[in-house]
Amino acid sequence: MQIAHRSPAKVEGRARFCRVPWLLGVVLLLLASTRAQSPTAGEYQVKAAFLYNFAKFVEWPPSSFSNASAPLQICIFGRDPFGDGLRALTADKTVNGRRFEIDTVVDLQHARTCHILFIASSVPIPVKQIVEALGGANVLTVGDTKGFAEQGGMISFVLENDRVQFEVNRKTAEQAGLKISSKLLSVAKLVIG
Amino acid sequence: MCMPCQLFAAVRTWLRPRTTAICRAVSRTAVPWLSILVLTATAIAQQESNDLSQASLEELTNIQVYSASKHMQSAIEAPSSVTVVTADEIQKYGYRNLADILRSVPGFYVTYDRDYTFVGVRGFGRLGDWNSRILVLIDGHRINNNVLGQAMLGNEFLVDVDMIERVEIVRGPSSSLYGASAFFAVINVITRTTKEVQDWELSFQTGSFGTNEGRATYGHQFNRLGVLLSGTFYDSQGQTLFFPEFNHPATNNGITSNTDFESYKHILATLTFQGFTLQGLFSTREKGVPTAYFGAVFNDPADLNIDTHQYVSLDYQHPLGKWQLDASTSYDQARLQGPVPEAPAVAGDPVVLSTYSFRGNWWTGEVKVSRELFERNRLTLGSEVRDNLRQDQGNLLSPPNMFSPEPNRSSITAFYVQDEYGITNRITLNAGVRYDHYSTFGGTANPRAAVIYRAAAKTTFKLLYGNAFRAPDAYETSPDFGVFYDDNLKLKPERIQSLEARVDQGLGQYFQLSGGVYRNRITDLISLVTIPADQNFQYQNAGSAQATGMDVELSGHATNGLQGKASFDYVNAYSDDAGHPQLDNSPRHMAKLNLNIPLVEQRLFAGVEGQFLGRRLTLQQNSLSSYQVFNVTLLGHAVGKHLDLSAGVFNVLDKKYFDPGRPEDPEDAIQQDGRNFRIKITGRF
Repeated sequence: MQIAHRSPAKVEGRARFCRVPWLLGVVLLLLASTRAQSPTAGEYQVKAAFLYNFAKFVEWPPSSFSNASAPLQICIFGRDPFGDGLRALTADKTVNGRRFEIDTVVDLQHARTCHILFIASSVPIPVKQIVEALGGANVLTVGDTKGFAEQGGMISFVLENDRVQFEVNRKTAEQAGLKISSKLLSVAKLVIG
Repeated sequence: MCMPCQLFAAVRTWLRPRTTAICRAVSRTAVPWLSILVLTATAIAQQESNDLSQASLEELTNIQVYSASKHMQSAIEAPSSVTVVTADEIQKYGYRNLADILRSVPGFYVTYDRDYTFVGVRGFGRLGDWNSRILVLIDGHRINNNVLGQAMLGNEFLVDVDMIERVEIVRGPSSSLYGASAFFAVINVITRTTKEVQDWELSFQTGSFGTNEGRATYGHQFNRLGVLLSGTFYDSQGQTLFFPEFNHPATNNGITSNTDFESYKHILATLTFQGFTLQGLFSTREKGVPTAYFGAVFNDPADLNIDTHQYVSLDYQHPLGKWQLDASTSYDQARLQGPVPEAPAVAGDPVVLSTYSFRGNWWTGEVKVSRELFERNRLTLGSEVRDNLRQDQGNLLSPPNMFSPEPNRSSITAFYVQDEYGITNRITLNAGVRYDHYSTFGGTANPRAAVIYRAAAKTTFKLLYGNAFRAPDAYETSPDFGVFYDDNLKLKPERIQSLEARVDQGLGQYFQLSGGVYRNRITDLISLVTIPADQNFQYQNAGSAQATGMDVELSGHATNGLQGKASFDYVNAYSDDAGHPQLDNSPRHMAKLNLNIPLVEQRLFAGVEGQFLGRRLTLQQNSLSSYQVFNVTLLGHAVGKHLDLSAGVFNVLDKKYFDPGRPEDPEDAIQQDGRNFRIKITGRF
């Protein structure tokens, strides 16, 4: 392998004017001042608002509450994606005179006393197992993955065109003793059963 | 003169000769940072606090959301430092190949010698190496070839960048899962599926230097069968270049034309059926080499490289009782033909074409099972077998047209186990080890352990320790470059020991800050050494190096679509030789900036990219000055999402900058491209 002679000269790139990067910054600043038009929000902000609405449009049997002033429990199973969003949204709200309580559960046996159970996408347990573990309890199961409702869950969130939609499995909800208002069903993207 | 006046005069005297330098330094570093700070502050100031509790159900279904990247979520939980680049970012920043993507990733820097693109990670980018210390996967399939260990990154990468769904870049040693080559990083390129491609997609690009590229993709999900087919062709005339090293009348005064050409073709086919995935890939690339490396005749278009790589892989995923099974098998074939025109022994005789080539064939089988053993505990067990059926190198001398490959083969068997355990609600322990047995050098065990502590809802601490290795490649144990190269069948693998501490902190609702410090110790580095006895060359385990560094990255996105990230890297990498000399091609500082601004909501986006690379040493110990490069891409969606138009300008400021030359290059530094552009149109039907 022949190695050709190399010149030992020092090599430098030419420095560019000071001004141009500043110009770029100013242009970007101007561009940024254009305001966005349509309503936008974080994905889990919207899902938190949906959970609040599910509480409004679903009827639980009176036996699922210990008394008239018992709070409505929303439980989160798996990695909590809401941050403070869900707590902040429901902090001072009531539904049928009941305040909200947000909890996290680590095992499904404790979830039987929840009214709404949100199953995060991080949970690897198959839907069938979740349904079995909750069998008989009046818990509205909400899942974050497509197909959750088809596989036995009650409501699944679906992202379509960057918008949050939801699917409802009316049959499994009825089997759990829950009554879903037709208002909620009419807005659902898909109703099963 | 009064005391303060003296002080003031002294300061002014000190300041005067330095004003230009200070102005330059400030504009170089401050402007990109100020811009992003001001922009994001403006974006935040525009946030109306959304009280969605007042919204009706219908209104909620109409709100546009920017999905919290589940990749970001998983990146925070991963036992390493992870960056994910999505297809959306690829389009918005106008990335042309995998190397463009890596240029924007913290810790990585790219070197181009007008032939292949090489990458350095965390201060280590030794000139002459073949990207064999990073493992590149396509859908989990290893594509580093089995002769040079080379991972293709630039235009030579095997998949069209527009067929990429996302790239997962894991910095840090990962041999505990992947075995050899997962030394500094693992890059997993995940291709698009029929979920992302609906029916037809046709794309055409044209750009500077006579470049044209076309792609046709078809994807469809039939009842249970998913079919994805894609073909791409690329052709570029290249540039007329000037190399001062050849500035003599005998070598055309340093000017070389028609030697920087490039063309490639890719075909990708993926079939999915139930849990099966069958994938086939064919890629061929030809590049002219204008640098006249290996003592070639200057300005001769016969100096080129033809690389081909084809593979077929079958993957099966299915639950097996309580276990999740993932089994795969694949067959690869890689070829290189690199003719080098050499000056004839007798003047007046025709040029001698010496063609270094290699042929590599390998077969791989892997089985992996994982399950949740008990609550919050996930166990993964795996085994991999690789048979290097061919690792032949050869030289074709023309005349007399004789190709005698030096045959070579080897095999590898490996076992690995990894356990992820959520000891408490907040602490996760992740530990694993892999044992590889090579038919060439024997066995090596590489462990890794990580502790992840979720201190608060938005704060995560990580402590990571790992070992990794790079197996000696065929061209090192049995080099076939000529009679002056000796074999070394006793070569051992290179080793790295790495310790890293990281913190991930969510800032407010829109920002994420990630920072880390690390220390790498590399031993048994394989280097080309002259044997004193007969003055021959041989690859030996000779040398060790260390790198200590830190990196910081701030990323964020506002709900109006404005998103961006800025990162800064500092590393001190030096060899353990006497005097601890700094490594060649190792920048101490790096800064990167990416900003995407929606100009017209959901329709027009401007992607701005800036990269700053600090000073580096060349092989001749010259100092290449630092540089910054800015790229701007405009992306527009028309006719719903059926038509995409993209215009990109690279190196907007036309900065003249250089990358260091490799040992085989006569050039100590190779000038990189000035301002160039590309226009792309994509139609979806």
